[in-house]
Amino acid sequence: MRENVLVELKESQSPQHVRVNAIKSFLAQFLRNNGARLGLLTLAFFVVLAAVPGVLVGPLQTAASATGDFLTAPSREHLLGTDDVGRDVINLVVHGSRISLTIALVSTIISLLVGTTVGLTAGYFGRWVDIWLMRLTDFFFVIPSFVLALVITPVVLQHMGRGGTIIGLRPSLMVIIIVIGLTSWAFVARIVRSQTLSLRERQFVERAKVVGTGNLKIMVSHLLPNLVPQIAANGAIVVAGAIYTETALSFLGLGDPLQPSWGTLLSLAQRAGAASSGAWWYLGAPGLCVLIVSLAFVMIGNALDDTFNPRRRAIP
Amino acid sequence: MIWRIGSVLVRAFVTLLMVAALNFVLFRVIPGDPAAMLLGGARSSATAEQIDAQRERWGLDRPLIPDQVLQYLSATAQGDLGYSFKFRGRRVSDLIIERLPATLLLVGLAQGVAIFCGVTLGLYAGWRRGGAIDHVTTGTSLALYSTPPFWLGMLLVVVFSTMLGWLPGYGSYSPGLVNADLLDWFGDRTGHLALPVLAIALGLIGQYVVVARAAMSDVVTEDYMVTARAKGLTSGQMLRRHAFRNALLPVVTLVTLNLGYVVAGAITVESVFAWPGIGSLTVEALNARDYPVLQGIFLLLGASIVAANLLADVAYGLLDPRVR
Amino acid sequence: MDGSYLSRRDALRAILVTSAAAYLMNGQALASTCGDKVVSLAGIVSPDTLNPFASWANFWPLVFTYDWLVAADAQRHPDRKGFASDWSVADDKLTWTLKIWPDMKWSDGQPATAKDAAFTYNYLLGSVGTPDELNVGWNSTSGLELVESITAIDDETLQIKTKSPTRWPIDNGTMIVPEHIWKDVSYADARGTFQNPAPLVGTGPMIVSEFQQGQFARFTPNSYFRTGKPAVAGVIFRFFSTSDPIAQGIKSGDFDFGMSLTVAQWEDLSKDSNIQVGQSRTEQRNYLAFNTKSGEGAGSTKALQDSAFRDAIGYAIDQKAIVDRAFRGHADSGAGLIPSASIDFHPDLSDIKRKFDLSEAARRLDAADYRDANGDGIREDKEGNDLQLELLAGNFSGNIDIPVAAVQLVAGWLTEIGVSVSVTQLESGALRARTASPAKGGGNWDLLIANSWPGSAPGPMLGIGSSKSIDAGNTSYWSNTKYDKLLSEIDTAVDLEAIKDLVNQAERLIYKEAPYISLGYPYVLSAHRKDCITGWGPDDDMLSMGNYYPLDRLKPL
Repeated sequence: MRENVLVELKESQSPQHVRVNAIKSFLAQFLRNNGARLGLLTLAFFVVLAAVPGVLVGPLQTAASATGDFLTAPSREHLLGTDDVGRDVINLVVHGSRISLTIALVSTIISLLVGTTVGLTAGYFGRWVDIWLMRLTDFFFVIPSFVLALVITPVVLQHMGRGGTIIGLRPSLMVIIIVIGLTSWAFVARIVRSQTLSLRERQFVERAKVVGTGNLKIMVSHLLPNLVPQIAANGAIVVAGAIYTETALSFLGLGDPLQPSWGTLLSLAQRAGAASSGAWWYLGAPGLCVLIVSLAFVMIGNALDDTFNPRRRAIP
Repeated sequence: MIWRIGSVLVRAFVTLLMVAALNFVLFRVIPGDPAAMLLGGARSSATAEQIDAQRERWGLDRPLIPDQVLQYLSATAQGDLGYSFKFRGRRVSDLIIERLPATLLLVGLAQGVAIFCGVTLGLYAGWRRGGAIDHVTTGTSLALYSTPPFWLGMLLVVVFSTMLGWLPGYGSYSPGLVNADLLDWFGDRTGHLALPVLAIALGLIGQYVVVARAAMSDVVTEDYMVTARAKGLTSGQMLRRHAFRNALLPVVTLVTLNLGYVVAGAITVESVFAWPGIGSLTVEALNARDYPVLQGIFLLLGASIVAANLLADVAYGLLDPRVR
Repeated sequence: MDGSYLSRRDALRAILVTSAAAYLMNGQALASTCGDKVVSLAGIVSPDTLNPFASWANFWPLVFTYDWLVAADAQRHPDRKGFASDWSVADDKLTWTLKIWPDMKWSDGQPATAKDAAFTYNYLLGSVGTPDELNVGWNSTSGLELVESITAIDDETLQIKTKSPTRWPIDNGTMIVPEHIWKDVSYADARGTFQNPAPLVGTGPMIVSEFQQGQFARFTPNSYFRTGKPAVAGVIFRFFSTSDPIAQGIKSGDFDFGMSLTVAQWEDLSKDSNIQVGQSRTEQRNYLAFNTKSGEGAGSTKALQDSAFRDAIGYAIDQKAIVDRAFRGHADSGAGLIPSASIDFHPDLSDIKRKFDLSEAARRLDAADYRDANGDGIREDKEGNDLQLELLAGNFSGNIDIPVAAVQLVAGWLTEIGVSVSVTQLESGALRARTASPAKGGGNWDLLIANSWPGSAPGPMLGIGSSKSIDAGNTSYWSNTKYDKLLSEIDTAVDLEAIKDLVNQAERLIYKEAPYISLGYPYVLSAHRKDCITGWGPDDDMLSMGNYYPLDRLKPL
C-alpha cells in the first residue's frame, strides 16, 4: 500500500532532489492513466480556444456584425448554424469558452485558497478554533453552492451595475466568480483538515516545534507541500462543480448577455424559443461543450485520485 | 451512542440557525436602504407609504440587536415568512406549501427511478469488472453525471416533443382534460412526468452507477469475500449475503448527500418544463426579485438538506456494524 | 452468477416500461380533440389578484369579465362598445352625457345600470385624500382630480361634470364593478387584501369562475351578456413565464390561441397549415434617452445637454436595421414618441425625419465642435474630455423586452462615429432607481435604452417630456416651457382635430430637441389554430389588447 508522497529530509539526497524525483514519478504514473490523457488533451483544446478566441474565429459577433441569416441550420458557411440574430454559433461558443473557463478556474482558485486556509487552520490549531471553523464549514458543505449563489447573487447584482470591465470581465461576471468561490470551499476544507490532523502528529512537525519554528512557518513550509497532492486531486472536482454552478446560474439569467458564457448562451437559446422551434444546434453546441469540459475535469480528477491513493477512500 | 446523536442534533440545529442568519444578514450588509432594495421587485412603483409599511414590518427602525434579530427569528419560528411581492397579498408559506407536492412527486420519482436503475447497473458492473459492458457503462455514467440536467431536458424536449411529438414538453397535466376517466387521467399525468423525470434521473443514474460500482469493486476484493468463496458459497449467495449489504453503505450515504445536487437540478429542470413546483417558483421569484419568496425557499431547502443529512448520519450509524 | 436473480429484475422493468408506454400513447391522443368547445388561451402574464383596485398586473383575465365605460377600443371600433352605448359632450365642454345600454344585467341576474357606473367612480372619488386612497390598480383615482361630479340621472343616463375641459370621461380605463358586490368593501381592503374571489360578477362575455395564481383562470359564459350568451362552452387561460410551452401547446392542439411568442417560434408555426400566425401593434415605444440634466445628477459630459449633439447622434441610428435585425421585421420603424398603433395621433414627421447616415452624423458632430483632436478614435467634447458614455439598458416591468441585439446595434453605431459607449444592463427595480430624479438618488448616467407603455391617450404618451413627470416616466429629465404649455393645452382640449394639431406641434418640437430618440414600436406575436374555434380577429388584431374582443363572438366549428 503506497503512502502519500511525503517529503522528509533524507540523509543522502538534498530536498530539491527528492522533490523533483517525486514529481517525476507521479507524472509518469498519472499519465499512464487513459482517462487522464484524454482529459488533458480535451482540456488543452479548450484552453487554446479560450486563450485566443479572436485569432481563431474573429471578434465576438454582435447583432451589428452578424454574418448569417436568422436561426439557420448547420451548413457549409456556418458549421454549427446561426442564432436568432444571425450570429455564427461557432463564434459564440468559442468566445463563450473564454468566459466559462475563466469563471470556473478563477472561482476554483478562490475556493481552494479559502478551503485550504480554513482546513489547515482548523486542523493545526485544534480545539475551539477547530470547532468553530468546522461549524462554519458544515454550513457551506451542507447547503449546495448553487442555492447559496442563487440567494446572494441577485442582491449583490442589484447593487452593482456599473459598466466597464475588471480584468477583462464585466462586473456581473466578477460577482458570479466571487460568489461561487466563496460558497464552494467547504469540500476542500474538510479534506485538508483531516489530512492536517494526521500530518500534525508526525515527527518532522514535532522537530520543527522543538527548534522553535513559528506556527505560520510550520503550516506553510512543512504541512502545505504535503497537502498539495490531495488539494490537486480534489481541485479538479471543484472545477467541474464550478462549471456546473456557473452554467446553471447563467441559465437562470444571472449572467451577462453581452459577454455570454455557455450558460448564458443556453439561456438566450431558451428565451428565443429554440426548444419549441427545433433549433437543436443553438441549444446543443454550448451544452455539449459544458458536458465535455466537465467530463474532462472529472476524468482528470479521478486519475489524480487514483495516482495518489490507489485504493479509493471515502470522503472523511 | 446518546452523545453521538446529541452532537449530531446540535450540529443540525446550528446549521439551520445559520441559514436563518444568512437571510437576515444579507440585506443589512449590502449598502443601501434595505427597504428600497426589498421593494425593488414590487410591480408598481413603491409609494412612500408602502416603503414605510415594509420598514415597520421588518422592524428596520428599531435597533439591530436584539430587537430586529429577535423579531425576525420569532416570526420565522412561527412560520411567518412574510408576503410575496409578485403574488401580491399571498403569504410565502402558503405559496410554498401549494407548490411543494409537485416537486416532491417529480424529485421522488426521479430518485426512485435513478436508484433502481443506477444501483442495479452499478452493482452489476462492479461485480463483473473489466469487459466491454463495464467500460461502456462507466463511460456513459460519467458523461451523464457531467451533463447539466436542464440542458438534457431541453434536448429531450426538442427530440421527443417538438420533433417526434410523442410526449408533452411542459406542465404537469392537460387542463383541457376535465371529464376524463381514471385511466386517461393517469396516462395524461404519466405522459407529462416522463420527460422531466428523465432529465433529472439520467444525471442521477450516472452518479449512482459510478458509486455503486466503486463500492462493489472495493467490497469484492475484501478479505471476507475471499473467505466466503473458499467456504464454497456460490456467487449468488455471496452477492446476496455479503456484498450487497456492505456495498449499499456508501450508496445510502450518497442518496441523502446528493439532495443538494438534486435540488439544483430540480430548480432548473422545472423552469425548462414549466413544471408547477418549488423550482419554477424559485425562478419566477428570482426574475421578479421577489426576495421574501426566495428567502423562504432557501429556508425550506436548508431545513430539508439538514434533515436529510441527519437521516444519513443515523442510517450510517445503523447500517455500518463497525460504528456500533 | 445466479442468472435468475438479475433476470427477475429485468422482467419487472420490462413490464413497467411497456405498460407505461401504453398509458403515454393513450394520454397524448386525448389531448388534441375539439370535443369540449372550450377555448384555451395561453400567454406570458402573471395576474396576482382578481381585484381591479389592487393591482396593475391583472388586465388579463379581468378584461374578459368587466366592461369599461368607453375607452380606446370603443372609440375606434363601433362594434366594440363598452358599458356605454353612446356619449356626447355639451357645448360648455364640461358636461358629458353617456347613454348606458338598456336592460343590461350583471352575470348574477341583477340589473346593470348607470347607478353601478356612478357607484364605481364615486367609490374611487370617496377614497381621494384618505390614507387608503385607491391609486394602486387599474381602477385608480388618477384623473379624478379634474372631475366635479358623477351622477346617474336615471338607469340609462350617466352624467359626468368636469372642472376643466378634458377627454378623461371617455378615455379613462376604469372597469365598471357592481354596486351590490362592492358597496361593503372598505377602502383598506379594496386596496390590499380583498381578493375579489371567483366566481366574479361582471358584464363582460366571459366570467372568471376559477383562478389559480400562476396557473390558469377558468371562465364560464355570461348568460346575461348583452349581445347574447357566447356560443362557446367556456374559456381557459393558462399563464406561463416562458414562451416554449405556449408554442408547443399551439402545435399540439392544447391551445387554440397563444400570444407572447418569440420570432423563432412564430416563423416555425407559420409553416403549419393548421395554424394562423399574426402580429398586433402595441402602444409601447422603445427609446434612447439622453441625460439632459445640468448640475446635480448630470451625465459625464455637457455634450448631452446640447441639442445639436443629440440631433447628430440621431443620424447614427438606423431605424430600419433595428426593425430588420433586432426584431426580424416584427416592429414598426421608430419616429416620434407616439407609436403607429395610435392611428389618431401618430404624427407624420416625414419632412423632418432624420435619415440614417453615419457620415452625416460625423459631419454634424464635427460641425457642432465635437472633433477627435488627438486621433485616438474617440471624439472629445468642448471641455476637451473624451466622450466615454455609460449606457444603461433595461426594461421597465410589464413591458415587452427590448432585444439585446438592439442595444448592441446602437452601441456599435455610436462607437463607429467616435463616441465610446460602455453598456450596463439593469433589471427593472435598479433601472427605476437610477432613473429617478437626482433629488431621489437617481442620475449620474449618460444614455439610457428603455421602454414605456403609458396607455392610449395622447397626454400620457407625450408626458414623457413633461417637466411634471420627472419622477414618473420622464427619464431624460428634460423640460421645455413651450412643450409643457402644449401639453396643458392638450389636456384641456376636447375637440379631436384640435388635439391632433397640438400633438403634431409637440411631437415636432421634441423631435428636433431630441432628448429621446425613438427605437421602434414592437409588435406582440400571436397565433391561433384554424380547427375547433372560429371568429378570431384579423391577423393584426386577433385578440384585442384593449377589450374582450373577440371572446364575445367566438364560435365552435
